[in-house]
Amino acid sequence: MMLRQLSLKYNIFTSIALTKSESNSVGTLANTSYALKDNIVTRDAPTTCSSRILTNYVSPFESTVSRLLAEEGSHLVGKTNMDEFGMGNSCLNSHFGPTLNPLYEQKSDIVDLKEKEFWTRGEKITEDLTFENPHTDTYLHRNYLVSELKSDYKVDPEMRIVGGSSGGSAAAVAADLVDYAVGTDTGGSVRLPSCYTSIFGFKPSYGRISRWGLIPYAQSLDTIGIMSKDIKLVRRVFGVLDKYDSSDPTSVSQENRIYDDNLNSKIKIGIPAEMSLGNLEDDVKEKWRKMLKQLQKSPKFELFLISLPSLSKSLPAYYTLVTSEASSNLARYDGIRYGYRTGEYTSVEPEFAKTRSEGFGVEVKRRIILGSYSLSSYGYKSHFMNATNVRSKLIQEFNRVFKEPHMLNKNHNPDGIDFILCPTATSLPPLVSQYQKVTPVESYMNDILTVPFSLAGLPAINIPLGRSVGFQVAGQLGHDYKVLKFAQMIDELQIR
Amino acid sequence: MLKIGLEIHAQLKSSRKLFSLSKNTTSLLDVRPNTTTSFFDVSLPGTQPKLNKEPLLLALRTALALNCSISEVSTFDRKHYFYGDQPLGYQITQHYQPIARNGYLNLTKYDLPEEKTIRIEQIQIEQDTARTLYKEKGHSNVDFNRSNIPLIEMVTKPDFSSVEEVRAFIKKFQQTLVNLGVCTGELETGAIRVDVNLSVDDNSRIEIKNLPTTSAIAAAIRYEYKRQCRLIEKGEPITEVETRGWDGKKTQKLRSKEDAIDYRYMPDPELPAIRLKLDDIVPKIRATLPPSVDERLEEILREYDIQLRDANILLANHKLMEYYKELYNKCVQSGVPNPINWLTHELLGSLSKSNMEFEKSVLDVDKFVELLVALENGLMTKTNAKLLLLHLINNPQDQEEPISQLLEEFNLAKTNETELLDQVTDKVIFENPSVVEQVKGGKPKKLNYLIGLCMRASEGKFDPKLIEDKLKEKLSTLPNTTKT
Repeated sequence: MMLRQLSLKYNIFTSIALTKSESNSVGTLANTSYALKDNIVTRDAPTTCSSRILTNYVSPFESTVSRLLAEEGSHLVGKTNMDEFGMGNSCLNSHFGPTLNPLYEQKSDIVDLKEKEFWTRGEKITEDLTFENPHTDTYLHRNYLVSELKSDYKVDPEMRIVGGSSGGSAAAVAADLVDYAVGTDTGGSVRLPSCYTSIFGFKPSYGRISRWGLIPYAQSLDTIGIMSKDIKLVRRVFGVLDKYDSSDPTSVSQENRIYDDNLNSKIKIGIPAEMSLGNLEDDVKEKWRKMLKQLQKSPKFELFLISLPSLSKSLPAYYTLVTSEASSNLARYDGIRYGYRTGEYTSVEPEFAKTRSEGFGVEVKRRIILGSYSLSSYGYKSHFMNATNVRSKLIQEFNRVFKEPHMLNKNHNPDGIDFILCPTATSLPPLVSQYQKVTPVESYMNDILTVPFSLAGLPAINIPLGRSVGFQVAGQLGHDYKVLKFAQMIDELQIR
Repeated sequence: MLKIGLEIHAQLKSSRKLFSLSKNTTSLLDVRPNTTTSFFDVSLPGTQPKLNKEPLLLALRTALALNCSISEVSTFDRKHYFYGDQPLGYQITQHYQPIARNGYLNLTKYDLPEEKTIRIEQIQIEQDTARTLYKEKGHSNVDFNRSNIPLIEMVTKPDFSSVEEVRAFIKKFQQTLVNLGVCTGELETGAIRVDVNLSVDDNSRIEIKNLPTTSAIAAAIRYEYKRQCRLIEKGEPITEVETRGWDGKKTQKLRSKEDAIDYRYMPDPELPAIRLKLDDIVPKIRATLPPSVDERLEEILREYDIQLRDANILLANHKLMEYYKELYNKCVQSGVPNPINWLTHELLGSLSKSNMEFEKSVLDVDKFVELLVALENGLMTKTNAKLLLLHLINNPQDQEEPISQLLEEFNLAKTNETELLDQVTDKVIFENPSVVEQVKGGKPKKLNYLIGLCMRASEGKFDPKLIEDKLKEKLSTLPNTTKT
């Protein structure tokens, strides 16, 4: 009941499963429930990326992530709302309406729940399917709930954004509807909503969790991440998902995977000068000071001020690269093979163009246009290549401060630090009403503390510290288990 | 002065497609639409490309056979454009770092009166598109069987200066691919597709697309050359790069520089670079390459004493070559002369009349030998041997029966019965008085016409020489009716 009530108010899910699936009761995740971001494909539910262009799309194959979780007995409650195709940090850019932050009170319902159904062939997909009459009894029936935005919905004036793009996943965890949630993080999409909802949000090293079945936004950065209130559960789930997958060309090979989680007796923590911003909002600044003081008190930790000059350029570089890749990845949605199709065309606007105009939301279209410019013969060198160079430089700078060797190129600094620590966001989540007024470029600024680690592919985790405040720990590429162990250590300090 | 460069796409004959595990049926057009497609081939969301090694190996074989330098590192890029048969919205190709560069192909005395070297700029690996099946107006279907089939694109330098050179190169290129076993080599099925770049007197370059056959290529070059010469004479030479299409009669503008597509090339963000240890891999691949087309030609010409034309036919078809070798050896053992004409003229001719493709199974080699032995032994005339050949490939069940029995059954056996011959020749002489007069009046070549009529009337059972002698004999005894 709580699931329905909270879904009506906070619009957390794009679909809630009504057909109970059988689960493995002896798996390492038996008796756990989870929510899955709606840009990861599953056969038993639609996958929409919260976009009109994928209306009612049901994938004929299962993502590696959902398969591994099912094998270990975890129960999928529903698919979660998100910023369309991952583009946004508020969870307000969804075709299905906004997801709100469960830490803040919402009085009235904003959506209605409607029951829908579909039929699937499950695993029995063969070439004959193309020619088969679809009302044969070999199909499995599936029904699920979807939310429909009320035309006169009202958001409470004190409501704050949940963060994005994995806002639905964060909300499901924060509202205790699931034990954990799977999100995706391209430039902070797991960490920022985790920060705003006071939960752990872990973005592993790029390539550690298979992306097979993740619908790409910008696949040189897209990383599947894990969100939960329980850091130990985050680690357990990561243990299940941390597997080489031959289907994913960017999956880290078995011999490059590092499992070591032994921490040094004295842990060196680097605080980037560029990130301890003077412009931190008071609430965040206060917690930040508290945390640093507490760490300084302990003999286990040593704090260092470090400098990463390329950090200042990382936000524009990030937005250049992600929009370029997005403009390319989203080129396939033409309405011919699947998804939304307008059915109308004119002599000046062919059907696929009209389909795309109607199928994508405003922010998605904005990023496709930006990316198309960066890749054009005018923008390629000045924008795309410049951004690529900033990225390489940033990675070198990280290698110069970390003590552990980089998973792939083995570069490191023997006298370097173990972890980087910094805030996840500069402020509390903005009020929904306030956020709706800012310009797109101003909204991009919210990502400034999360994108550098994404550009370098580093493992990073949000550690909650009070209501809607959180801090990030990042480690060298490949040293995910150390990051998780260190996060647990900080959690156990019980800084409040 | 005419300058031509070629861009040739060739489908690689790998067992699986380039980036997925679906079957590569390349040029087979009779496969049911959309049955050899994987999730990636139709670009379902959440699928990823994974490079298969076999197409890479085939591309490397080709690059080495075309004397190219292989790149130590090559990468894949996305070339963006919207089209119904381009499911990703982009083609995965190699724009920035292709697999091989700087090769050449020699056109030798076997190809041209004068030898010539054509330089090759680069070879890249890329995906084929799906196939659009145009239906009634405003409606078309898409068959994704072809989607993601591996292609190589080979780009030459603008080294050609005549249609003959272009023809010779295309033929040699086809033969080379077939010889390597990397491509079926057919233009008709689209396994090989040729685009032409052409400029006259160093004016701007024109690209010509949609050229389905070698004769279309030749005709389009001739047409475009004349068109540009006329423009130059008028003092209005071409000043802008332009893409033109060929409609069978003339070239037509498809797009100019202003509306050229900006392909927005982007390095593919998830496909890893191909990194090769050249010292290790190049000698290994080189060791597996067959003798070159020229070497094989020389060998065939030397070993089998046949004409260049026939040798070229054999080289273009690996199965035919194997068949010929077997046929030849068995003929030699049976004391039958070189069967090359029977193979390349009569058998292939009969097949094309019957609209059939050559396969080893169309006619059992031993049956063919038996037929030729029977002919050699004078059991039938050449004409009837041809008839029987046509019959055998169209009625394979009769290949079970001995030739002698078939000759009897169809009444094709050669006969020397003078009685019948007398009847036939008399009839022909009687029915064609005017021709008879011409022969006697000093036009001996007209005799062939009468011989032909006799052959037909006797259903080819007599040797033409026999008929000729008989006719001459009869005509000489006829009274001379010519007016004096």
